[in-house]
Amino acid sequence: MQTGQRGLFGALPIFMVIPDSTPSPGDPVRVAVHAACEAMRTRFEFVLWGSDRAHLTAAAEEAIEEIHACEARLSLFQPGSLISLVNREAALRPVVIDPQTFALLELAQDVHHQSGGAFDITIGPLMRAWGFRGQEGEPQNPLSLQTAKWGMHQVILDRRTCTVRFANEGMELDLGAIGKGHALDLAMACLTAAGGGVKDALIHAGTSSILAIGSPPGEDCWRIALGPEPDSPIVSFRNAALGISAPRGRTLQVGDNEIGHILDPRTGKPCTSANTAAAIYPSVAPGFRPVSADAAAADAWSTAALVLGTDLSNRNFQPPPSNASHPTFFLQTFRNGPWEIIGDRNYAHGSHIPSANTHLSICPPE
Amino acid sequence: MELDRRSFLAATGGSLAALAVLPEFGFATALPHAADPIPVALIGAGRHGRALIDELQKIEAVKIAAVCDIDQARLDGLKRRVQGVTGYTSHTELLDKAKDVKAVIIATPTHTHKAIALDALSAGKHIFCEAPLAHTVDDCKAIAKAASKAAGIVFQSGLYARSNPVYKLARTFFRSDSVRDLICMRAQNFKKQSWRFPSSDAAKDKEVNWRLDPAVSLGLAGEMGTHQFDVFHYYLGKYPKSVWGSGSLRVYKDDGRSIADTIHCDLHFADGANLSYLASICNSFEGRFEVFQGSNAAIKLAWSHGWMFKEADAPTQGWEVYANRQQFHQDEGITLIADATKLASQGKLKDGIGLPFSPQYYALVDFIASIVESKPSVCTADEGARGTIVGIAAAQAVASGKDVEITDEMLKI
Repeated sequence: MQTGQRGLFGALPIFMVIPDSTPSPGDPVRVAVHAACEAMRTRFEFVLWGSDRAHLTAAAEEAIEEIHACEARLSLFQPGSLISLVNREAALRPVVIDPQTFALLELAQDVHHQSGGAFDITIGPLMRAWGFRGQEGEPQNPLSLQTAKWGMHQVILDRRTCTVRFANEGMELDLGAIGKGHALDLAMACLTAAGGGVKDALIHAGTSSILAIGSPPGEDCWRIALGPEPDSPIVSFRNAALGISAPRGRTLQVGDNEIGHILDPRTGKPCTSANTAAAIYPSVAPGFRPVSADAAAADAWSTAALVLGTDLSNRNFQPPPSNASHPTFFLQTFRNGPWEIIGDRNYAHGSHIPSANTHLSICPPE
Repeated sequence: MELDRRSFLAATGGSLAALAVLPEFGFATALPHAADPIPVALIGAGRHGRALIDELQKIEAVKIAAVCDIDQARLDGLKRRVQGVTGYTSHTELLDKAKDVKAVIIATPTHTHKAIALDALSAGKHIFCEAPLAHTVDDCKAIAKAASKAAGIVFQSGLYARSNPVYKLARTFFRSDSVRDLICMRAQNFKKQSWRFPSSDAAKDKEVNWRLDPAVSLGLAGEMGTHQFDVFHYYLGKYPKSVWGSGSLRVYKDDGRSIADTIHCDLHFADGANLSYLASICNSFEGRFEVFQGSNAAIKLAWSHGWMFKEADAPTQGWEVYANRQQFHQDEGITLIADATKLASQGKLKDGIGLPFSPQYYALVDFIASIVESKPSVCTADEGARGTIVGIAAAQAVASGKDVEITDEMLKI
């Protein structure tokens, strides 16, 4: 058995389309600052537009520090992280956690319920049993597949005391499918905070989670291609978050079959229902400031959408609106197949994107 | 003040006896237990304050009762991280109103430490004060003198090597003669970061970007060097006699700053040993480390990790059979792992590589343990002041490009 971690751009199908914009005469001089960091086992990148390079750089660095702090809090791979502490002790006692982490766990619980169990942050033991954890090439363990414990209903959140508790031993939280979005949300909060004051920015984590506010100079929106193929749809959006999930991000060879790392929590088996799923959350917050959990919600819903697959497009599942806004889904059932768009108010439910390079505007009213 | 390595060996019964027990040195810090959690206040909501608050929340014996920052937006950000905490925008208001608070953690700009520390000592609070303790020698001594007069008060200086389990473990190797004759010492701190903080308000810019203000900032030599120089003070049991420095702007030439973005210092010890120090905010290669090179071995410390590189002719110790090794180009480092024998017997040696928690966590645990268990501070105000004075001398050397003497009088509290 082999594990395969494909190259970043081979694994995930989002590409940013950077415009060659020419400022209009009389416009203040605009500069772009690009920044990046390695965190959460991926690469975070920032593109910020503004008038003061030093200020933009400082704002990006503040946001990068926030991402590192987020990783230190949520990482499963750091024994001293808050989540590692929770995983060690929450079966023994309620563990007090900070309000930001608590809100993230509540969001994960909401998406779990609203998706009918298609999203679950407790499948860590299952991931390990399938061999998606530990050292590269660590074999699948048939015994642990039978005994692995998971299920979000066994996670008890108490908002009054800001605690988390497990109903049973052997449980484990794994925020890998939502943590990068959370980090982006916190990073964007840094950028737009009083000190930051950034108004036009696009930030992403490994191209699988994207959060953007405003637009580049001379443009109304940021444009994102949903795949490397020339006919991939291009999404134009501002003040919105996009999450994308694909089983091929990390794969295992089991016999003659290559299986992807997205597992269906409802069956405990690898998800085979779709090739790629994306979820977009347009922010409805006033002005340019995003709501606090746009990217985390988009992350979670993209995983849920991939697991739900055709159930999503066949209307067997109707995503309830979140408090903030309605997610829009893009679903590609098989590789190089057509993309389907579900849920956007500007498009007929379930309609297929008709042609190459279709532009979809996800720009909530200001 | 000084304890040389040979004296230490005599006191501990020789190197072999000491080495026989060294690998059992554990990372498991005994967590303090308090019947009621200690109410603690954090003053300073910058990056460091935010990191400290995340670590404080992992310590059961702590209740974060209050947070304080003069900037309301930063304060609000900190309050969002702690359930039900009270916020204050001045430390005097905090000390006046939050009577239940027993200990304060000072993580404000260096030049503001003295006023806060003295007020907190007057209010009878235990203090954890970030290093450097202050930006002038006089302020360092004022803090140390006030702390020495405060009976029953724990004052811990935030020099993290003193609590870091990897550094404590490596120190036992060093002091039991594993490196043998000390040849040279090196350290560096490379992290690509502008040292500028965002501020949309021009009036606040000077306050937020105090690190770039030569009137109050000790620059890289003081702000980063103080922590790393102290590793050598801690290991050698002595302080340098003089320091030479130079600094320049390699990258940030156009944003109005004068504080060097890249520096070099040489610290000279009485026995002829030298510590060479490089720091820059323009490049990240190899990050932060401290190295002791001796005739038998070198020890490299890198914040959360440590290694020993042995010479081919150095004697082999029994514990080395358990050792985990890492290759660095042509050199093989023995990973300094606590509980090595136990982990090896469980087949989990690799689990022991690196610190499980951040170094800040261990320092805060030590601080709380000193309060709860009435134990001596692991790094007193005197030690913090002396370490800072070396950092101040280094900053002066960088600014002047000349040798700066570090006299016994300067280090006398």
